[in-house]
Amino acid sequence: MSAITAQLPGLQVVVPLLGAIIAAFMRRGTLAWAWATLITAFTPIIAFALLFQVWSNGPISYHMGGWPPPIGIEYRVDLLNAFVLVLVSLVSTIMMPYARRSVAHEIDGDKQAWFYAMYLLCLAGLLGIAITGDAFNAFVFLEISSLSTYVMIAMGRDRRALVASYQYLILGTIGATFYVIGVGLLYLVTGSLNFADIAARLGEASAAFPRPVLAGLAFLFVGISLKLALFPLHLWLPNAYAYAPSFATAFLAATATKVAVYLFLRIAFSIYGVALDLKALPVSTVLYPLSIAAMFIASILAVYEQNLKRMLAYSSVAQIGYITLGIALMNQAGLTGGIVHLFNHALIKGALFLALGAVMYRAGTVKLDDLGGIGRTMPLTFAAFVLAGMSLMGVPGTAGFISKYYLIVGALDAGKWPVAFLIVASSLIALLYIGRAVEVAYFRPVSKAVAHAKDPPLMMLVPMLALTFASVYFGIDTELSAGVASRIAELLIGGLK
Amino acid sequence: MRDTRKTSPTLMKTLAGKDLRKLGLLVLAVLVLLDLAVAHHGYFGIDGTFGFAAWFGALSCFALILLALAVGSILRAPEGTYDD
Amino acid sequence: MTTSLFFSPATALLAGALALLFTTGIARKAVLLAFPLLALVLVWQVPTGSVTANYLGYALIPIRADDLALLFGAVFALAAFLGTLYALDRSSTLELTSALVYAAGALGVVYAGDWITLFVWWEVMAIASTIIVVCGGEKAHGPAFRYALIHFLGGVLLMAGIAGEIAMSGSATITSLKPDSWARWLILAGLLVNVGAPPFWAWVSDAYPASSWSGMVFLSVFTTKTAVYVLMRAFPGVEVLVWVGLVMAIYGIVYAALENDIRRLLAFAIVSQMGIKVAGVGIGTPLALNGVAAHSAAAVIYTALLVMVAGSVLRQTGKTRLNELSGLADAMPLTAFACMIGALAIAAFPLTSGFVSKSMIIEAAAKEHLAGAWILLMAVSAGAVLHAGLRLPWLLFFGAPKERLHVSDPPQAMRIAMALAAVLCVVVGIVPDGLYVLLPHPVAYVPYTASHILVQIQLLAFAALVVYLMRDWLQPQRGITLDLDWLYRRLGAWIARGFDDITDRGWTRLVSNLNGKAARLHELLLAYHGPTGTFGRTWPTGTMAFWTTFLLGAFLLIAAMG
Repeated sequence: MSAITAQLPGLQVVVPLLGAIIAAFMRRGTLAWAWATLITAFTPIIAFALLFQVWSNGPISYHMGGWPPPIGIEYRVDLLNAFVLVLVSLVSTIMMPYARRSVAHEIDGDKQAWFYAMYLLCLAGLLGIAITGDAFNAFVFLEISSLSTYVMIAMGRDRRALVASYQYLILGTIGATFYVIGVGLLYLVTGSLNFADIAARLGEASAAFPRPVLAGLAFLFVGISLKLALFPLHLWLPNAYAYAPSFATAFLAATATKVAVYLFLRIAFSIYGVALDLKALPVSTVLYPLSIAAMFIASILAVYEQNLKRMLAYSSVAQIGYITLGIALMNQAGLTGGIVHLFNHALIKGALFLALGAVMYRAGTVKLDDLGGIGRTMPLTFAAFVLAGMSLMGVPGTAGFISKYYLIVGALDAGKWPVAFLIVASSLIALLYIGRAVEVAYFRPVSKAVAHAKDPPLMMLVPMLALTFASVYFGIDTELSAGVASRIAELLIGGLK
Repeated sequence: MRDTRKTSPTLMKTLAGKDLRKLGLLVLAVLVLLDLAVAHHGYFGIDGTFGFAAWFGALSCFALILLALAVGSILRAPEGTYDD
Repeated sequence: MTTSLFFSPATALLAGALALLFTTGIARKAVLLAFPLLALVLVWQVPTGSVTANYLGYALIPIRADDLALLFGAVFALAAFLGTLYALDRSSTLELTSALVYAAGALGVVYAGDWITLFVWWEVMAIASTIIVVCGGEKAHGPAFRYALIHFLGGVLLMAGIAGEIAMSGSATITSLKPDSWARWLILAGLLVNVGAPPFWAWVSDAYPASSWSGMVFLSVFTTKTAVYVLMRAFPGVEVLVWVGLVMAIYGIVYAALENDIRRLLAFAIVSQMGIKVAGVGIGTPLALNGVAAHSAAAVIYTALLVMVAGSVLRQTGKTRLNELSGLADAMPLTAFACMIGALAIAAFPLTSGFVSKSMIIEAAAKEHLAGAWILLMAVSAGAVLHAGLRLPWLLFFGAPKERLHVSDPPQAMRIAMALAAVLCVVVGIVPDGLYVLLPHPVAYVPYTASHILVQIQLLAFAALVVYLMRDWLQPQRGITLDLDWLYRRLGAWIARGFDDITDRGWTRLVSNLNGKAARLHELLLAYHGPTGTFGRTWPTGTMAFWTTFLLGAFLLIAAMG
């Protein structure tokens, strides 16, 4: 038992990675789905085991292949990444039952197994980014997850999926290149690739080479910002989300950007923040205007969007703005708000995209004008959409409220009451775009496209409703979300120089 | 039309009758004259005076009607104004 | 103590809403009547004092009971009962379930001791009442949507204000506030949206008439009255409320005098009546607040009565336009009689509940020597004859019938509901002490003095004389009166359409561009030959690369300057 326990950090990545390779050899889509579901279901078990270990015994250090750092690769699990691991693996597991019919509906039979292989590869990459303590290893996992993402997006039925994927490929590569340049600069001045090691040596190095250290931060900042779709580097996201297969959209929206945010937190708080005075670096200065611009501009774009998937994609850009705003605030409540929104938004957007996937499955379209009266023909699906949408707006009693609450408190603690006002004002825009969908769904006569639609099969319905329930439930019981997030924020801020 | 007249309501006839109009005027007169018998304790001076509520009621109602007519002449619109 | 959470009047109504989903026939009717009555009984069982709970580290007070809460709780439960009785044979389960949830929300607000609890119930009310409007049928969808938007806007203002207030004062408890910070102004604004204050007052006359014959009864009771209740708790004596209230009162009369639709006329009358109460809160003396509490209680019943009358006319004749209705008194005698009682009460005629309550607010204005407010309140009192006080019953029930309508009084349950409400209006008017003992402050006020009675009768009689003399100018005419909602129904739509055009054009160009590129990329991949130099040149990608570089530059620049 203890032998396995000791290997858990390695297994967290190795299990889906090997699973992906085996899935690639399968031919039948259903078999590959069953396999992927089984593999995915292992990951949250491992993640929870890690979280409990970390919660009771503190950080775990795991030496890949038995080589001690800084020569070998270290997997280092603390509360922050254990939390992200749990989030990513759990949401994926909840979503998996949904995948079979949705994928079978949108992807040709002979390519389905390939899709699941790519999905597992992406999952392995995301978990790898979250768990590794090595900057270059993180780059490798970043590339693994990105490459598999490009393939998943390109598998979308819409011809524009190909362009979207291609566009994302170019930009994702730029982002990854920037990241690796940043890592290279850090390696040059510190001589290490291990996060903890870099952090320990960076202070000294910065005194000797202040410019490369700053340039490294700039490259890392921009590179990761591209991956997390920080405004105005978000242009790849709306098309990628809109034309990817529905399941891939839901999966990516819930996990991929969240892991990028994690990497950002790791580099800003655990490396630069430990070695240097984070508040003196231009991180907040740049994040503030971009976050607020994202909250407003992306939300307004969402209001005028006809394609509901694109609408939610723009909304994602806006919501990422809230998360980065929480980071920019750099105080206890603000950071808690950012991290808890990372968690809540994964649940909310997962639920919303799954609902849209169900609409795609039944009605074959997500164009707003075609969906008149869909609230009456697909009552459970749209009830889920509305509830998750309310959570997105931040209606009290829902998870979204908890996020915004902490963000507002954080803004007020920082003495920035205009920011608090802007948070509320931008929530009002969310009301507009969700309200527009509600108006069409419930108040318009039933349109031709949705006349014969009905709620999707149980296998699709249950994951959707589970995530919807979660996005309301975590507005009432905040122990796992806000409780852990607040502890993480405490640790991150406590570790700052 | 004929039917209507036959079943024409008695209540209505009574109310529309000329006697009623005279009775109404009498009631109004009595109401004002009662001010001689009842002591009012005004707060502003004017409100304790003879017949104050009578002329004030009439005047304010008249003013409100004028206001309404003015508003109506500017802002009245057909019923389907907002229908597209 | 926590047991009172589970046996509160609000939970009784929620349980009723739940039970309604699973019952039919007689059982359904029993549920409709029993649970509001249970709530009414439970109102008297709520122990005075507070129940506290914890959420997000704040001490919440889900239940705080005192005299004022008791009065409003009792009146709301009673109104819920009258409403369900009236709607007993309404078939829409969705509407009636929402109505019970809506009433539960109102009771929740009444007992809320902190802002967070209040806000939750506030939103419950907003959602439930929107559904009630929606149940008015196809034509109600537009108004319901606007109603929802306005109320969520109010909710957001309130939420922002509450968050700010908690952040500044550290306490979520509802206490009497002065609007001296932006947070408190936001709270005040959020409350005023619900009370029907400018600039958003048009939601009342937009949404209420769109609801069903039964739905409007519930709507007319809860939203505006809970808002004025919270105003009494949080902002007594805030002077600006006097003027806001008076503007509402005059607006309501003017628009009602022009209105052709009986239910919209009543909606304007509601705004006018709310204005008097808001002005009373602004005066803020114990006498004024007593008056507001008493007038709210009285208004709940007589407004509901008048709305029931209008609902009966709608249900029996299918019409609501005054120019199409006339002389219904003989066909619907009981409805006509109920309307007369309601009219007398809303005009505050002696021996009705309106008289014993409204006069307190006017007296309070006089005692404070607020001459302007007092004159306008008196004028508004006289102006009641222009809406429901005289114009409505006269045009609706008297005069020559426009056409022969084979109609009668509505079914039994509706008749009983109207009769009960009418009896309540008169009983409270004759025995005001029953109401006065429930008021928040000790009552020294004596309504029935010879002077009070005479002044009020003179005021109304001579106002009625003017209406009679000018009756030719006050004939109902088809049409609507443009209101402030023009701004978001016309102007907003124009702006949005312009915006849409621009974004549409941009989007079309982008799509055609992308499509072109996609086709070219496809060719490139297929034939290994194609136009050279296409890689990386699609302009959105170029734009992004530009932004990436720009951000890097900006970051370095800021770093260098720092």
